[in-house]
This record gives sequence, structure tokens and C-alpha cells, in this order.
Amino acid sequence: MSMIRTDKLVKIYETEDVETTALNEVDISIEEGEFVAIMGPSGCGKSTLLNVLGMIDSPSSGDYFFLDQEVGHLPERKRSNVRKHNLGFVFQSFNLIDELTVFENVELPMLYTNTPSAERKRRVEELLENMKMMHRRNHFPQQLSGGQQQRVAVARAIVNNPKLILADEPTGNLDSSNGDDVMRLMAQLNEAGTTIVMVTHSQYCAEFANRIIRMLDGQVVTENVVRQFL
Amino acid sequence: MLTNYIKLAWRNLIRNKNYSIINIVGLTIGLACFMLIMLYVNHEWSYDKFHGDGDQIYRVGLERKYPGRSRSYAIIPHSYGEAIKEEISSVEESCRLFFFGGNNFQFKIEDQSYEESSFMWSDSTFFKLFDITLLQGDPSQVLNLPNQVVLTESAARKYFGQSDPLGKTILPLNQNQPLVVSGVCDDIPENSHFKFNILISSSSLGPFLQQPNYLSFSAYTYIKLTENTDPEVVERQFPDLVVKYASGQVLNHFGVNYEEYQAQGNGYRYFLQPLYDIHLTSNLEAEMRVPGSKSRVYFFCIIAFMILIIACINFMNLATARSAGRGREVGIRKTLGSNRLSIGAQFLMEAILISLCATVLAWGVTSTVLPYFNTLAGKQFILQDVLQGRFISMVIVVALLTGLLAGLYPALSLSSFKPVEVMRGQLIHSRQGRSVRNGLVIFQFSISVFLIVASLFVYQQWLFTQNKSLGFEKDGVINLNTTGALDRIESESFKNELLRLPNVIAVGGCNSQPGQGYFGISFKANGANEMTTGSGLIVDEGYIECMDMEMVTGRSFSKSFMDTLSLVINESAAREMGLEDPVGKRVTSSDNFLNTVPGEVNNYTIVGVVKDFHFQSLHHKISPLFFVHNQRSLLGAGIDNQISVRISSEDVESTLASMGSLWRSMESEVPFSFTFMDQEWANLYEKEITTRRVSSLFTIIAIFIACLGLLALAAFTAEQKMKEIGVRKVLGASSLDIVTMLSRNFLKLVIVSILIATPLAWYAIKQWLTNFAYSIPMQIWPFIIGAFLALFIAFLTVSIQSYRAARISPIHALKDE
Repeated sequence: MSMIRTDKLVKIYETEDVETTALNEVDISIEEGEFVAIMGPSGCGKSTLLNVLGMIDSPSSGDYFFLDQEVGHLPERKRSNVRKHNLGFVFQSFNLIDELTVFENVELPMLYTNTPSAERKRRVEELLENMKMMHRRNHFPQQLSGGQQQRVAVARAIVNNPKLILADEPTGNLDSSNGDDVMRLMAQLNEAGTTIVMVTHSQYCAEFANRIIRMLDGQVVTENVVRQFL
Repeated sequence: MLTNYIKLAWRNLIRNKNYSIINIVGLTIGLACFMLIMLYVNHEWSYDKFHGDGDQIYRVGLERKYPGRSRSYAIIPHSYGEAIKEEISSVEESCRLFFFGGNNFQFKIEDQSYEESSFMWSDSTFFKLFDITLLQGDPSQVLNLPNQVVLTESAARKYFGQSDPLGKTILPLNQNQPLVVSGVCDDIPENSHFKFNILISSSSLGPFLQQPNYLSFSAYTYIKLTENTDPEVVERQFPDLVVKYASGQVLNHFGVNYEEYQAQGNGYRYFLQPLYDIHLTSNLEAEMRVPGSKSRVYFFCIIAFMILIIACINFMNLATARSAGRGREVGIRKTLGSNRLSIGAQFLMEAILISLCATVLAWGVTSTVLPYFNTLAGKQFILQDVLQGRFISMVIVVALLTGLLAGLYPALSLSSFKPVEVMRGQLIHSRQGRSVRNGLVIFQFSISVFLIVASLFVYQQWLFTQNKSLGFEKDGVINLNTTGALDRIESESFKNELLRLPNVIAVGGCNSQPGQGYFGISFKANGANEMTTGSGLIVDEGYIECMDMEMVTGRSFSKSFMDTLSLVINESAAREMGLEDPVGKRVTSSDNFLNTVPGEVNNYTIVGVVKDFHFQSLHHKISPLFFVHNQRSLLGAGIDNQISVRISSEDVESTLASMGSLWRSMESEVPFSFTFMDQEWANLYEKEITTRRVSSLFTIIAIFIACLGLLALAAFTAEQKMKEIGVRKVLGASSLDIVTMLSRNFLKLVIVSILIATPLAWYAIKQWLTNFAYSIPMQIWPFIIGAFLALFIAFLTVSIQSYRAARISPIHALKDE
């Protein structure tokens, strides 16, 4: 069973007098447990695709099946519900909430899934321990380095045990050593069974994936298998 | 989740200090103003509410109709109280109060002399009708007999110290009959439309009350209706009572039967005033205390709400202007699965938290400035008033509502952000958000312009009332108000001695002063069909000259003539009586109380006409006035209740000192007591003074809060346009160009505000000025000043921010690129 399947996915952005086609009849399929990298030049539509896959944007036309359920045209309330139970996000600019501590940032997704307080505490501490961030639990994002912030963001992304992690240039704002750490973390998560879809410019990062989808002008041009998916 | 919201709201407050300070300061000042004004408004509403059965108690008022006009009085003929109770079955009880303003009650207790300014006469039913607790004495006995008095608790302590006052006697000066203390009652609360320290049994007024009287007015008459009685049903029975009781007296006094009398345009319409409404809605002639005014209470309420709304708008504007910063957070939360409701709730919580912080601070501010506010508003609020349960709950409700009002729009607007658009940098400078902000700034400044213009008019009207020529010269006149203690011979010699003092220019005796209220009196010109009722004033030969009143024709009273039956009238009286050449004309009066023999008709001769002068405040038109010679004084021929002394402005203190020692040489028991006439006159404008002070203060505050918001908004705009400013500067724009660019849009908004506020203010002020019998005309210049002031203040506020933005080096502005 495909975790993700898109059928002629189109996304058109309309401004007052310009119409931009960001996605042009994209058909992709991603299996459970895959680690997929989406690559392509700026403006090719890779981030738009990731947003649609992440259900934070809806397609102009075409269908998007997530776990065999059409989700592309669901109302926002239902999409939000699918999202919080199944997806985790990692962004290039970390997108931590500045006013919340490390602990609270990681805890946040569990508040929206009504996880009991004791369970939240246990889970956040476990993750922070794994990420070696426990000593920073009461710090605010600005007090952390970029690498540390991204580790927190990854922890936040996986705290609800999502089936799918969507990562948009997760190493874009990091130096090579911190970037490497984050990529290893992603690989570990994938090995543990989490499906990952990652947008990246970096060939090095893409090589952590099983498959690379290359895009140009809103269309998928090639799909290379980097490693055989077992 | 709730703790998460509160925590986040608190951290946001701390992190964005400037923003929080502006919001909290604005809301604190707004709420403090609101609390102060509400204290005042609450107090005004609370008048007479302490009477338990007050909703069944009514005062009987009278509209006296004269041909072509009418006047309304708080007093009615004294015999109606009894008649109404007897004739109308739904009237459970009635009580009359008698109060004659302007006089002091002088008396002796043992050998000690005292003077009391707050006293009234009442029927024995007083304690049955009104909820004033009788602490000592039997409620059914205390005012039953002539010469009984009830003292308030403080009066009892003041005059009798710790000893038991019951059964003790008080000896009024110039009278032989002592008064016996029969009871002690609670002090009359400040929020009562009547007030006294001494209550004397009405039967002590003597023969005056024994004569049935249904024509001339003297009694404040209260009735208590049985439960669920419709007052209108009672009112409908009054006309029959008038026919039954007054028609005989009309025939006697005016020589016509009542039907004819009515056909001439005369008549008496009695009406009921609910006790609870008297203070705020009644402004009849002869009110006991300066009444409040419902329109003023509404005006203050409007100001309070406007200030609060201005502060709320600041909050809304700043919150939405900052949405660029908060949008990212909304995006993340939505991405992580939060829904619109919980995000909206979070922003509302933030607004309510800020509002509650501001409320606590506002409480502190209110308590601190209470004494100053008391001086301003002429009230005596204490800390307990701010701590009353009812007040606290009202404030909490207002604080929550303020939070809701301020937070609702930002909550709706921010929670509607679509995560992907926020992340993409869209929506941040949305056009809709900008137009809402512009609309709100226009609203704020419309209020400000309105308040500026209104305050200028309030101030102008006040100046006008202070400077308008009154027709007599109030400056430089000292009123001695205890001279009723002197007998006729002493009074004459005291006046002569006063005239000998250096710096004393003129001396005159009278029974009351302009502004203090005169008694009512009626005269009929010989050959005329109708009586003319007006105000009466008893004066000596020196008074008219002493007050610098102008004689239009004839002469004033003079020692060279036998003037006991002479009359001096004002121009209005001559007009109303239809006398073209009044001097020498004979007029008659049958009013009881100047006549030695009750019911006898007396003939008077008009000897002079005084130019119309304002003997009431400028709220009232000048009405007929009759000067009667003091040889016919109510208190006894030749006795002057008050003596006015015109002095020169040199060395006022030593003049007063010499007057004092002269007084003491003649009268050792009654202390020397005086007032400055100009100050007393100013007291008539207490309402206007309060309105002027409160409105100007709160106008300044409203503008300040509006500017605070504008300042922050300008800062945000400058911040948003930083890149544009940088580019423009690189391309050669001067600081002035930048300031102009940034300020122009704000000034446009202020101009729109002026256009909106001007017609509204014009209409409102025109309405307000109709409250005055004499008022300033509508003028254009306060509008021009208001407009310029608003523009100037707004420009100053915005340009400070704009100038700072314009001075920043373009490299800083462009470094992000």
C-alpha cells in the first residue's frame, strides 16, 4: 500500500494579474518506510509539493491520497486532524516558537492531540535525552545554536510518533557538521520505520535518501533510486 | 492548555516590552478614567435610593400656568398635602417639608450661641415616609407638637456633646418660645435630595400653616402610594381636587370663578415626581439642593466609554500591526495541528490578561488620585467606595469585556491566517488589515476632535456665564448673613457705622441675595384681570444703589419718602403686567405673608423700575421681580436678614477686620460671618464648573491615549517600511522627504476624522447650548482650533517616529537583503 499517491496534482498561484503554475500534473507515489528526497532548482515547485503533501496547502486540482484516503480537498478542520495524528514537520528555519522553552516546544504537538500530562512529560524527556538536549530543556530557542534548534525541531516532529516526516531543507541553515548530525538523525528515524519526505538542494543530503525525485518547472523529471529499498 | 495560553501570553508581554507598556498604560489610564467616572455616575444614580419604599414615594410638583407661559415649582400650596391624603384612597401617607434657603438659624443653648445653616420644618409623618432611622425618641411622637425638634446624630454631638440631648431646649434668637429636642436621627446621607441637621415640627411655623391655602406655594409635599398604584391614576384625580379646593380662593383673590380664570390662560397642573428620579430629572424652581443632571451623567458615561474604546483600539491596532511577527507562530501552531478556535482563544487570553493587569494598575491609580478627583468633581469619595463589592464586580466585568472587545478582532484576524501563506510571507501586510487599522485610527481621532471642540465650547460657555453683565456688580460685595440677629434700631445704627468705615462704599440690607432664591409673590395692576406672579425681595433704601443696579425710570426706595407701601419692580414685571408707564401706578396684593392681617388686600404704588438683572443663574430667563420695602419685612419691620457692603479693592483684609470688630461691639453672641458675593455667584455654576473641569481633563487623557497608539503604529509602519526607506535614501531622499512620506498617510486619516467629527460636534453642541437660557452663539473658530490641534498633535506624534526612521543609515535598513 502506498502511503502517498498523487494523481495529476496541480497548484496554481494567482495574484492580481499573474498566474503561476507551481505544480503541473504531478504524479508520485511513496511507499511506507521510504526516505524520499525531492530536488530541483529554486522555484521548481518542490516546497509547494511538500506543503500539499503536508496538508498545509491544498491543490488547485488533482487528487492526493494519504493512506488511501483523499485528503487534498478536505476542509481545514479535517486536514488539521489528519495532520496532527500522522505528520511531523522539520523546517529550514526551525520554526520553533520563541516564547516557549525547549521542553514546551517539543510538548506542543501533544497538547493538540490531548495527550495526558504525565505521558507528555515522559515522552518529551525521553526524546530530549535521546537528542542530548535534556540539559537545555528550560532554555528558549534564541539561547541555542542552530544545530541544537534543529535537533529540538526534529524532536518536536517525532514526538507524536508520526507515520510521515516532512522536512523542508532541514540542513539549509546549518554548518556541515551540524547538518551531518541532523541527517544521521533522520536516517536513524527512517531505519526505525518512519517515512520521510525531504526537500533539499544538497546532493550530499539527498544521498541519505532511498530515492530522489527531481523536479523542474512544476513537473517531476526523473526518479532515481539511490539505495535499494529493503 | 489554559496554563499554556497564560504562560505564553505572559512571556509575550515580557518579550515585547514597548508594545506591552503602550497597551497597558493606555488601558490603565482608560480603565482608571472609567472607574472614576463610574464612581461619580454611581453616586449620582444612588440619590435617595436608600429609602426602602422609595418606589412608592412621590413628590407633588406644580406647573403654574399664566396666560401665554408657565413656570414649574417643587413647592405647592401647603394645604394640598392633607387634601390629597383625604381624597385619594391610594395615598397611604403624606408629609410636607418646609425649607427657606439663604437664611441661617441662630439659637442659644444655655448661654452659648450657635448658628446652623441646614434646617427644615417637617410634618410628624416624616419618619413614617422616609427611611431615616430614629436613634432616640418615639417615631410617632417626635414631631407631633409645636416647637419640637429632631437633631441628626452629628448635630446632637455638636450641640450637646456627650450628654443626652432628649428633652433639652434650644432658644431661637428673636423668639421667646424655646424648641425641645424630642429625637435624634441618623445623619442624612450625602446622596439625598434634601438635607438637614435640625428638623423642626411644622406646627412650629404658627398661624402661617393654620390658614388654608391652595394658591401660594411653600411646601415640598411628598406622598406614599399603596403598593402597585399607578401614579398616573393618582395624577388624573388632581384636577378635580384643584376645582374643589382652589376655586373658592381663586374667586376671593382674583375676583373671577375658576372656569373664567382658566379661560384667561391661568391654572394649576399638579404632577408626581418619583422620589428616585428627583435628583437627576427634576430642575424645578425652588429645589432644595442644586440638582444633578441626567444629561451630564450620560455625557460623562459617554466620555468614559469613549476613552475606554480609544484604549481598546490601540490594542487592536497594535495587535494586528504586529501580526507579521505573530503570523509565523500561528503558522507553526496550525501546522502542528492546532485549530482556529484554540488559536483565537490564545489571543483572546492574551488580551484579557493585559486588560486584567491594566485593571489592577487602574485600581491603584484610582485610589491614588481619588482626592484630586474629589476636588475636581466636587465629591467626597473615599477608598471604601472603590472597594465595594458591587463596584468591584462591575469593574471586573468591564475589564473582561474590555479584554474581549480589544482581543476579538486580533483573535479573529490572526487565527484566520493560513499556515502556508504565512510561511511564504504573504498576508503580512494585508490590505484588509491596513484598512481596518485606518478605520480605527479615524474612529479614535474623530472622538478626539469631537472632545476637543466640545471642551472648547464648554469652556467658552463657562467664561460667558462668568463674564456676562449681570445687571448688578457682584465684585467687591461682602454679604453679612447673620444680621437678622440685630433688632431694627441696632440694624440701622450698624449700617450707619459701616458707612463710616474707610473703604466702605455703600451698604444695603435685604432678605436674600441674587442666586439664593427669592420668595414668590403676586400683584395685580388696578384695572387688570389677572395677577402677575413673580419673585419678591425685601430691601432697604440703600440696597439697590449698593448693588449698582440701574434704575430705568422713577426712583429707588428712599428715606425721604414714606415707602412702606411703595414697590420697585423690574422691567420684566412691568412688561408682564402690561404697564407702559409704570411709575405711579397702583397695584394690589393679597398674599398672606407680607400682610399683617391675613386675607386683607393691600395697595402698593410703583415708584421705580430697575433694569432687568440676573437674580438667578443664566440657566433661567429673567422673570418678574418685585422689591418690597423692609418696613414690611416678614421677620419684623426694619430687620435685615442680610446686609451687603460694597468695599473698595484696597486693603480688603483690614476693612473686613474693622467690620468684624464693629459687629462684635454691637452683637457679642452671634459670631461675625461673611461671604464674598462673587464666590457665592460662582457656586451657582457648580455643575458647569464640574463639567468643564472633567471634560477638559478627560479630553486631554483621550488625546494622550490616542496619540500613544498613533506613536506605536507609526513605529510599526516605519519598521515595515525600513527597506523602502533605505532604498529611497540610497537614491537620494532627504530626511524631510522620508518624514513627509511616512507622516502623510496618518495626517490624511486625521483630516478624515475632522470631517466626520465636525458635523457631529456641531449638532451635539447646539443641543447642549439649548440647556441655557443665555448662551454663546455657535462659532466656527473652536472647530478650526480643534482641527488644527488634532492635526498638530498627530503630526508631532508621527513625525517623532518618522524622523527616527529617516535618520537610520540605509546600510542598516538594507543589510538583510
